[in-house]
Amino acid sequence: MRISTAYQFDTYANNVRLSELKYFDAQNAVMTGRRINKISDDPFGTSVSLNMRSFKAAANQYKANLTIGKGVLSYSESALDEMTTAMRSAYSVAIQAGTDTMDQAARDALASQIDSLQKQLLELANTRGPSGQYIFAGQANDNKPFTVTATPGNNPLTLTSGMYLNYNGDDLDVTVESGPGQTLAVNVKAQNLIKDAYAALDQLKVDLQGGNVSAISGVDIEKVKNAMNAIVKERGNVGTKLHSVATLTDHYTRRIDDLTKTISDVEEVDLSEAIMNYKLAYNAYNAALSVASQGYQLSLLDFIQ
Amino acid sequence: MPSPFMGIDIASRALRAFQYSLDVTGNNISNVNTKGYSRQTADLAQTEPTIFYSGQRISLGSGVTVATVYRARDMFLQSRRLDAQAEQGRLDTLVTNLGQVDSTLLEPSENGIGNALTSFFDAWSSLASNPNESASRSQVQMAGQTLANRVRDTYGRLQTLKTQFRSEIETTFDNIDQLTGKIADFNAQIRAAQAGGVTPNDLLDQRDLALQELSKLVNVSTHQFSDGSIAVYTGQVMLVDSGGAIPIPRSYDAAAQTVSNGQFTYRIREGKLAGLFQTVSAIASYQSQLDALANNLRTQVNTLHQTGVNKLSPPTTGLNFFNDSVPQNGAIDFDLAPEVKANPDAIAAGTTGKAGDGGLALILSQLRDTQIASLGNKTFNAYYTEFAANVGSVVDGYKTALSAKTAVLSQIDAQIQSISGVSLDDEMGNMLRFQRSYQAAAKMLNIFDQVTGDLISMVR
Repeated sequence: MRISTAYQFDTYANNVRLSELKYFDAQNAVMTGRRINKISDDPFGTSVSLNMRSFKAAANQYKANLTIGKGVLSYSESALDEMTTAMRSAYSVAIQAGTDTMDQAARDALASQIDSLQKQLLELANTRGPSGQYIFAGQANDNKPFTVTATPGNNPLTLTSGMYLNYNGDDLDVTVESGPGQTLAVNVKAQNLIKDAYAALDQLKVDLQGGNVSAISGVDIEKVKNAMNAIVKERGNVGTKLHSVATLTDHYTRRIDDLTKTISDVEEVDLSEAIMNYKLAYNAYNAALSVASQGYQLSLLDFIQ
Repeated sequence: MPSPFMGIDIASRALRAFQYSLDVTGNNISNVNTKGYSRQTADLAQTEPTIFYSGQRISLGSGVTVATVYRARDMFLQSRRLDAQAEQGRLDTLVTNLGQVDSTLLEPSENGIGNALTSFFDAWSSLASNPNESASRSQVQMAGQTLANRVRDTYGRLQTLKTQFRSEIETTFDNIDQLTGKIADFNAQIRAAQAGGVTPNDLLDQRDLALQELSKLVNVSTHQFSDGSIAVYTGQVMLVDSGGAIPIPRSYDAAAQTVSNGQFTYRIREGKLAGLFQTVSAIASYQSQLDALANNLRTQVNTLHQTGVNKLSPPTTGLNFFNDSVPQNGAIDFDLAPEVKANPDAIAAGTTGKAGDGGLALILSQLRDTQIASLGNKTFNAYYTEFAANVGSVVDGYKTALSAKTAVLSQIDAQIQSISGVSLDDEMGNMLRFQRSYQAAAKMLNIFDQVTGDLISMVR
């Protein structure tokens, strides 16, 4: 086959250009660390990467939701904790007053102690969460859920003292989205819990004021104890939920790590491989340049005198 | 008896023939870099012998002459090149143009629609999990706005590209008409030259070059007439006939890849023009996919959102989240509903209006895993991912086809160059050959001169 001069020179130039392009691409891969810069670089990889990115973002969001849930649960836990302490104090007051050795003045003093415990309980029942919501109000959590009034309000409970304990919340779950199609209720349905505890304290207070020792020892101690145990039990439930939140959070943390690795596997170059490729491209480019420059120089003209 | 001066005649013919051959070689060397130039060779032939009688009839060779200057050209390879070039032109156009479409999607990155879609559903999930937090609502508003902006911007960028490619189609029509005009001019000149008995190598080369240029724009086929002129067709459309150039019909249908003169519709299969048609129709189809995405987002999100009660004072219900109209306008005006745009409190998290009700937001968040019937039973994310991956693999496919076609073309080029290209080494060899031949002929003339001189001095 004849090789025409123009073809020869064009071919040199083309080959040098091609190896330069490969060299440049290899350089680029090492410098940017990215394998996919446009979809067409690897359409399948892009599709994998887009899916993984969306999974990762969702996992991140579920994890963030769990953090929100953890906030509400922690607030509930510490509120229930303090309620337990208050009930325990009331319980020891009841035990103390259950013996007949006390005079009325001492019982009145105990009654006022119970009164302040009642106020504390009410305050705890109206605890606000991380976003200012009332955590014991169900979904209707922008109104103060528990109020004590002289006239009946919403869902009233008539107390021994003749006052009313009203509940303005509802019995619905407050949930966080914890996974695809999964939710986790993070609120404590506290209406009956609080009402029982408050009513028990109220009755104890009235009996103390009335010097009704037999009722205190016969009924009130038991009621206060039951109410306290109910709170302790609920606190246990919250603890279990906090544990499962922690487990799920760990799960998502691991999943996010896995996905991050997968995404980087798909989108980014393996550096050692990229450097190898770069070296190869460098050598090929070098060789092409050297061969072409020798080819350019050779001509019959040099030998004609 | 031949003339005593015959030797001088022979020598002078040889000198002239070698002089011409040297000139042809010189011309070849001069045109080594000329585009479309075909190597020429001087075809040497014996001149008519002199017949004389010397006891018997003797035929005596009378020397050499240049019969023709031959143009090294393989017509079969040329026509293969036309076809290959047209296909390469189409693929090259597609790779370049759709490559630009690929870049407008900004995938895979944090800045694409894919990321915005995920963030949008994430924001709803966040609102579902924390409906009391006002920041959650702002997050939904911002994520919705970002999603709408990205869908709209991407659509707009595609629209800009489409407009640009449409005007490139017009330019290509102009270029085709210019080239066919040129070919028709060359036809006329070649016909005139051939009628005068000359083979106009330079005009033939230039006409071939124009034809090659034309084949990059559309697929062409030719028909050679005996008077030297050619007719040029693309498919069934005649572009050049013996009467001159015929402008290409300019009304076109990019999706069907056809041009029409009002009477007939012709399909354009290859070349830059076909590539542009395919680009424009691909972009139109990408746009309609974005339209489907936008409209389904509207329908799905709005239908749910309308059932919700928002946090405005007083709370309202029945509001859209995305703006909407009947019929739906697609991606071009995709945006938040004005109420939602004005105030994040117009976003409904629940259907009861209770502050802690995130039930509706939860359903909207779960929309991410819902298969949408009018998106071919795919989730929004899956639909978009498939769309984006498809854009990429189309470009990738054309790239592969282009590099195959480029390899074919360079094969053909190599063959053509092997026949028609000028090799300086060859020409230097030829030059030395003709130089030596010329020197020999000059020496021969010298000898004949002396012989003739001797003859004349004999009679003195």
